[in-house]
Amino acid sequence: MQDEIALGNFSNDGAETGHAAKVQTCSEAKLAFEELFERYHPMVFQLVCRILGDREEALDIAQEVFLTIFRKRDRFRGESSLKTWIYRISINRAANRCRWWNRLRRRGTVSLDAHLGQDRNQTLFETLESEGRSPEDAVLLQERRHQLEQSLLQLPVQQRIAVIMRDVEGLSYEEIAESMQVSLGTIKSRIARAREELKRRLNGALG
Amino acid sequence: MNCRTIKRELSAFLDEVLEANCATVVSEHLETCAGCRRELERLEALREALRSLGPVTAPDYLHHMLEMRLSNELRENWKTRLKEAWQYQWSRIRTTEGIWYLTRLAGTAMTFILFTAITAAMGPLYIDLQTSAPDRTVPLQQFRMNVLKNLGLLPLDAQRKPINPREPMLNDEYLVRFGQEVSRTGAAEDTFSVVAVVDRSGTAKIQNVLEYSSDSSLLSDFNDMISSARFRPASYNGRAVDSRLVFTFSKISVYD
Repeated sequence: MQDEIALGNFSNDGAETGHAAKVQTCSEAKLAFEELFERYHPMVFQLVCRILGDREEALDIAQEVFLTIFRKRDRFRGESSLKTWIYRISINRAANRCRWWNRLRRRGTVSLDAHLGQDRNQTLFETLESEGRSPEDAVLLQERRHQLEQSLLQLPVQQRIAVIMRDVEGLSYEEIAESMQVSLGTIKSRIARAREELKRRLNGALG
Repeated sequence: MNCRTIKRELSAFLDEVLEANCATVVSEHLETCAGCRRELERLEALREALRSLGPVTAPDYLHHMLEMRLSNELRENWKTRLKEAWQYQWSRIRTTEGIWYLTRLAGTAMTFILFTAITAAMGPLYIDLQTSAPDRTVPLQQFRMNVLKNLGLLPLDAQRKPINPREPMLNDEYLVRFGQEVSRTGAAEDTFSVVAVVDRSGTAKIQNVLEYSSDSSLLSDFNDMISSARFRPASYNGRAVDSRLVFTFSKISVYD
């Protein structure tokens, strides 16, 4: 699908190469920004929510991400794709918030139970409806998801981000390496260790 | 390769990012090792489970919240930019050479004006460098007289010290008193006579002694008296002239 978004100093030209385009007025920039938001906010919100494990925090961080995109739109030089650039901003913001929460937890001021990975949008009924399962299967499925999400939150931040981007978001190793600004070998290592840890924690629950 | 090494590579093998020769080795090992095959299956199941987590949808009000924050930011940004622009312009103005010199000139001018005003309010003073340091300030009239005198422009009449009627003058009263003193202290027949010159300013000094007294102190006293006092000068056709006087002291008689 061709991307046809122009925002500030960059436009999307087929393969998301990010060529520079001059914006004449503030209203044009705002319009382009609106389009960008419409296109990328589901991706940003999902990624950040999976990393943080909290919808409210994800809401806040998603706004921060788009505000950063708006402020720094002049700095996008097109060296990477627009998608990768947005991912990079999202990862940095989410990782910073994780570190902040870790500091609070170490001080004992925040309950660990406050971070729930449950998708509150999906009720049990909807699960049954959409997946055609028996009630027992649906409950079991929900339980597994919850367990998996909790296990994800137990991972170190960098490993968590790598495995989410690979297995949940479906990005390639190269895209992940570019977004996280590390080498390919580091990404391989992080994903392998994350999976190993998840396997150990889930301990046969996956069947 | 042993199973431990193979298991480390299984994740990359699963995602097909291993190098070709390494992937071949792993593949060959999996054909013969059930344990490693089970590990690979567990990894596959984990990957599927992660993929099946499902999407997380953003709430509808996210856009609205972002719009509000963006509007606030643009408003603040406008004020911030205006403030920064003003500060930048002011810093340029302050550092320009023209303004630097202008401020210095204004300060100098103000200092000069203040100095002039204060000086004018205090009145003119003239410094006479000829006199000794403790008392060099002289009145304007005296200063003018000194200048004209030094230049030789002072008229003859003005060079004389004007007669101040309040100053004591050598007159009969002084001479009579002196004569009485001579009579009282000196011998009855003692007489001394001097010739004194009185110039046009009234200053007198002994020119010649005609007759000495037996008491030498009388001459000294007389000299002190006429040196410190002033005569009313003699006049001829209304003009002051030098004169010569003969003073003879003999008991109570005085001739002049």
